[in-house]
Amino acid sequence: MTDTPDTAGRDRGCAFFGTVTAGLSHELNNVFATINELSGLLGDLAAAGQRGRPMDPQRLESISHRISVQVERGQHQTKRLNRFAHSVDERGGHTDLNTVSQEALALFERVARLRKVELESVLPDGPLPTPTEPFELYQLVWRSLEVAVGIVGEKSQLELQARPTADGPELRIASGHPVSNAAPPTELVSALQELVAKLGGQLSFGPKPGGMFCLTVLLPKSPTSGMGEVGP
Amino acid sequence: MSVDQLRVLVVDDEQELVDALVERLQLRGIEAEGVTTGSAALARLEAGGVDVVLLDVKMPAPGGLDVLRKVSERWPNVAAVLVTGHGSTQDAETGMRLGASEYIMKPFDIDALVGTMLKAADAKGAQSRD
Amino acid sequence: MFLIAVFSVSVVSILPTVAMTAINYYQYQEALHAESLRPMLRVTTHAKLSLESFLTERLSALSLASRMTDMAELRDTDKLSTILKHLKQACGGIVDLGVITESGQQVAYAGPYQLKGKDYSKQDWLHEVLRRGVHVSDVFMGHRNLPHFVVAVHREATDGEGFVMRATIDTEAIKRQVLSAGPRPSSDAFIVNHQGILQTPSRFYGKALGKLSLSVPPYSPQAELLEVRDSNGLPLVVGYAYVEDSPFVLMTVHRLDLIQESWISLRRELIVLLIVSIALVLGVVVAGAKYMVNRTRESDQKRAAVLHNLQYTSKMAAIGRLAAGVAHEINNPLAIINQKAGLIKDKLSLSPELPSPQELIPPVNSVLSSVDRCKTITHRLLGFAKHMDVQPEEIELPLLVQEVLSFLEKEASYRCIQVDLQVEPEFPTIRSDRGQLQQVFLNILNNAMAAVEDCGKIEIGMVRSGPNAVEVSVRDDGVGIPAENLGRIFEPFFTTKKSAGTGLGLSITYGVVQKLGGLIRVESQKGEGACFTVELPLEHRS
Repeated sequence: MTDTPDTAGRDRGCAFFGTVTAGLSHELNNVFATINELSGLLGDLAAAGQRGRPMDPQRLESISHRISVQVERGQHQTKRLNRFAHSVDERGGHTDLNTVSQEALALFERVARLRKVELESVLPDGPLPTPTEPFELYQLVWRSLEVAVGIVGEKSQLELQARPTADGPELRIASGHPVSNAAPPTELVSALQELVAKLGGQLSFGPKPGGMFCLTVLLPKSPTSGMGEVGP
Repeated sequence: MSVDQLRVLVVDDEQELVDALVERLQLRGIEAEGVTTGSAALARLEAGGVDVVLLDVKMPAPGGLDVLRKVSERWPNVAAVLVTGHGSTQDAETGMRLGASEYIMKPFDIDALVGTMLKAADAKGAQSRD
Repeated sequence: MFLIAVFSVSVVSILPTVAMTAINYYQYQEALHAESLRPMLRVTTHAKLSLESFLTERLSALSLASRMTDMAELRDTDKLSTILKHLKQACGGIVDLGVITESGQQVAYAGPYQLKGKDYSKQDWLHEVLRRGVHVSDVFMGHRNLPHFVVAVHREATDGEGFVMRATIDTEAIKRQVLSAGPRPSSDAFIVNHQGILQTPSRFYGKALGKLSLSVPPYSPQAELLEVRDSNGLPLVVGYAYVEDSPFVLMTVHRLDLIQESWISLRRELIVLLIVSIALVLGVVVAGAKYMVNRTRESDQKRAAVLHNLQYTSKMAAIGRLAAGVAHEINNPLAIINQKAGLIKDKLSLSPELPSPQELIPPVNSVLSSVDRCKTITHRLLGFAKHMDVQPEEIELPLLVQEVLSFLEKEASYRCIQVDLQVEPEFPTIRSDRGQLQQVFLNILNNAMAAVEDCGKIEIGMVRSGPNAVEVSVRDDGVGIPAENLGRIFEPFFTTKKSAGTGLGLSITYGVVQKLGGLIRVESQKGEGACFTVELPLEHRS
């Protein structure tokens, strides 16, 4: 336990959890609303059938199928919510940047959609362990995405890449196109900086030659990992 | 106003939802159309012939509240019903202040929705008569 | 509190030291006293015995001489001179020798004076010697203006006449005796007679035959020591001894201050030691107390930090569990929906005939009711996810406060407490978090209710405060807060409530107000109620 409580960091952690959970709830709610209408429609058609109107079986089948699709979507979201909720409890000492990046991307997807940002990812095959707790790594990837989206603005494309380097796993988020010199959102940036510092990593971002925006976070290496190949 | 006089524009970024809802409204004799973006909604409203617009607040820009603002400015005779995903009064109150006639939470009961839309349309109708 | 602790510990530690020092002081004093004085007494005794033996020697010699002859022989001056010569050789100090009849006539004399034929019949000494058999006289100014004294013995008549043999003694001899008793420069030794006339010269008090300025001490058969002050107030130790069978009193005088120099320096050292140890004790106690207070404060802070930590981790754990629980809960209805949708599909695709509408409606309804369940669940999740962060809304503070007051309505009316709300005209709405503001005002108003007596008054005021903020003040006419507590009232764990209350309420409120971008302060005087003022920005910037 630290002597001085990192209240700002804690508040941010709480806020982050709330934001992600709220987003997931919205998604789930949309799924249920859709199922609601689809099954309602089925019910309507069945009622009409009772009143004598002919029922089109293909139509009905298609609607049922669409319900199943939504259900699957709902189940995905629920699983994601479950994983995220449990990440708070996990204390392993090491977390895999690879899996967390995937999860965080999926969690961020809704935000990206609302901000009209296209997200792509390039991830390696193997794990990228770093000595952090899962919840904190989730927060790191999320906040990096927040900052990147804040800088590149709407209607942009971002690519998230996670890869091993000699000094440790690296997270890189780059825009696929030149970005105007937008002022970075200071609150978000300082929150990210504090988090990176707390995890013992290094943050750098800014325009690269050609005007593309790039944000990199270098994370410490896990001592027990066999780091194998050094990244390109 | 009666149900079969109602002309409704459904705006929500969930395609499936819009399609199912539009069909359900049509099964009830309501003239209904659906779009999945705020911009499409504005374009459709421009064309005219809409009594009630159903607006989901959480959409990519322009979102429900942005469209609502425009509706209040440019088409004051169109009744706007806000659809929110949760029970917070924040969006509802903001919406009311921006000129929404009613608001409703999703998932909703279809009959309750129809009733709310009628109520909104009648209120606007009364307004326009004054 | 700090002072009481320091004071009591200091007293408890210093008291034994002081007591010990005092005891030591007196013990040392006694010991030194005794140690320096015992030799004095011994010396005095020694001198007394020596003097007594000196006198006894001379008297015995005289007595022997008187018995070896008779009156007839002694009338012969030459014979007498011979005896004198022998006596002088045997014992020093004898100056002359005389023979005196029992009727007081000096019939023979050997020596430097012309005393033959002198008549002593009227003199006391003669009567004394006839009575007692021996006599020792006071010192007088005699031959060559030197002090002498006389010893005499009575030879009783056996055959022939009785007579008195008398010898004059030079005081030089006894002076030597006396000097052995007081060699040091700080002391003096001399002999006085019972009337206080010096018999030998004194270093401090004058020549022989002068009057001693000290009073003659009372009789005692052995040597004694007296502590007196002389005419200048100087402390003296006087040793004295009455020389038996003589008019002499041996006195030794010692300057107490000079004797006690070593004691005095020791005493000085003791006092310095005492002062140093007191200073040390005080220093250690104060430092120790300060350290303890600091450590206590630190550990209080640590405790608060641990509690914060605990609250945080337990909050996070609880939240995580809640969210996970929601996720689990949703699985069931989703599964049902899946199953029912699947059933409908099956009915449509698998059976050779078209299903009737009646067959379809139940599964559809099942799906709808499952969706309804899920809606409740997600709404609940969403509701509490919002509370993880400041969710800004446009808020009418008077309405919010009235809402909070409605929770306390029952108690207020039961205890006839009057609550008054005054809102400035055109009081603006603010953008802030509703839930947290409710928490803040609930806490403050609860405290106000607890502070007032029955039929007391609570006044709530809302005013603008500059262009960007508002102020809400809650004033009660209750017991008030004493000045020494005012500064600590927002500290975690600080509470004056004896039983209830963890002391966390106000500290949490303080934190929440800060998080909302505002400030909270308190004014109060004991017995005059308290006023809590919350300043809030119009627009919360997180």
